[in-house]
Amino acid sequence: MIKRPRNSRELTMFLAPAVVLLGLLYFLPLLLNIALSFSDWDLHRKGVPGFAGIQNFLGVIADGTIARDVPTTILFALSVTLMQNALGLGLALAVERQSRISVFFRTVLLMPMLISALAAGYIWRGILDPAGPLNQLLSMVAGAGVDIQWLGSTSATVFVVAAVQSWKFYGLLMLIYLAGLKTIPTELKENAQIDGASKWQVFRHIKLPLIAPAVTVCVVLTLVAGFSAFDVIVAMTGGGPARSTEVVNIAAQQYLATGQFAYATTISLVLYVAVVVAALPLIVLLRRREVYL
Amino acid sequence: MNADRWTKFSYAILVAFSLFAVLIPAWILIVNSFKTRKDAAQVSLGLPDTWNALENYRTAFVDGHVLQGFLNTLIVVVPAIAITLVVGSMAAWMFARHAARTVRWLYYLAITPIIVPAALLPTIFVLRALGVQNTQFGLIVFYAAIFLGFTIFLMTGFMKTIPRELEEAARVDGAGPWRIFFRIVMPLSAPGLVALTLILVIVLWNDFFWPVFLLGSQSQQTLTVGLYYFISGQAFEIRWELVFAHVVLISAPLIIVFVVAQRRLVEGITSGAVK
Repeated sequence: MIKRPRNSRELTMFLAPAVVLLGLLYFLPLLLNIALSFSDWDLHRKGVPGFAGIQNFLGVIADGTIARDVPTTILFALSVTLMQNALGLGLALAVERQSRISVFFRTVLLMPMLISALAAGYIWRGILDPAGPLNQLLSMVAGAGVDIQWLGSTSATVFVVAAVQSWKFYGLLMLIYLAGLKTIPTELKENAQIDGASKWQVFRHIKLPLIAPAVTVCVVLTLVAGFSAFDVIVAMTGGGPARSTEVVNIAAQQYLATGQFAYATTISLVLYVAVVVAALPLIVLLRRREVYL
Repeated sequence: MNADRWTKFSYAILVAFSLFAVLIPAWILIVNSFKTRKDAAQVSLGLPDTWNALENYRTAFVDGHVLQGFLNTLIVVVPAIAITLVVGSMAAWMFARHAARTVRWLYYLAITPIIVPAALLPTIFVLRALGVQNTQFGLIVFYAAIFLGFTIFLMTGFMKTIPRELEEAARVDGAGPWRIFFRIVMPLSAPGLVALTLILVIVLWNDFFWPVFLLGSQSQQTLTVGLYYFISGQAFEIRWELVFAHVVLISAPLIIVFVVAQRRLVEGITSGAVK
């Protein structure tokens, strides 16, 4: 492109608002977060916080938060990524064909996406109550009283909450996967079928490689959302039982509530590092598997 | 025959999933919102013994500050999305049309909010320094900023698919960049903008995390924050009939909009706004 002076004036003019907004309200806080993790800022501190070295990092290690919450967060995020993508892709394949029935099911299936994650958490908390509708239904099927403590297990509840998080957000993934499936030329699928390929082979060797870009977007989006989950957990367990569903974001909020501001920024910094460390290699890895027509 | 079996199988899955994951939960939500306090103390599948619908919905509406929450949500969501769409599209147009190295680096910086979440505490810090802490204005500009990442990502991709010739022709005819942007680029981006707007409405309307921390008094609370305080106010036991009535009330606006606009949402997204 020939560089004209008008171009650079135009660039500045059109980019400036975005640069100012992002710089001031996103990047500045992000940089401050790094600085504040090395400060002695707390509720009682007036004026400019002082330098505290790695005191906060030692603190969140010593009080057990890192050892307890980081594994929980990773387990939660991975479960969400798996379940949500399985749901999103599976349902997209099921409603892929153009028909009136598909359109009807699409409408029904998109409902959970429309309500708030907090409301979703409360609804499922009601359904999963030990004497609630799910156990009532299971009792009817089993012919005997079922009283599973869905939200009372220190080992399994984290997966139950992850399932509800996946339930709330699979709709968007279903739409992105549908968009990906729509870009595949029909001749390709038809030719493969004429050549005797099974449904599974068509999926495995044609659809899956060609929707790889959608897989990249969806896996990264769900992983990031899983790492920073908050609303569903607050509504369902508040981090319990016995802190077994306490993810990093919940811990940060508890530090905030008790006025330990530097600890809150430190644990958030740990979260950012975890997100970047997990997301970047994943983007590179998944990009490499993409096929373009 | 193979294909036929797959069709039957996929319908079976769809029916089962829709029933157990969507329709039965919706039934439980609605039916329990009609019950009396005693009846709803235990959430159940059955119909109410005594119907108490009107009373529940009136209580949820008044004590749950639904009307105020509705207005507060609108006041925040509408300007935030408008700013993000205009500012984001302006930037996206540049990113789609210029390939210089610095522009590319700016693009990667601009879409980092998709990967790295915004920092809560320092944001409060910055908003205070700007004198807009605990205000709706503060939340609006903050939302506008952090959703620029997603907006720029989607709109840059979309605008790359718009042919340049129209812009070039307008330029030759002497049109300035603003005129080209608002008269040519934005209208041609309409399908992408519609899909993006619907996604942003769903996300911002339902958000809990940012409003609960960035807004001040309860008189500014959005619908979702209202639900949280409504439940927190029920000291000893959760009043499921009221909670569920509140959930129905605050979810209704979006569900109505969606049922009306769903064709555009599904088509907008699946026609290449997201790639």
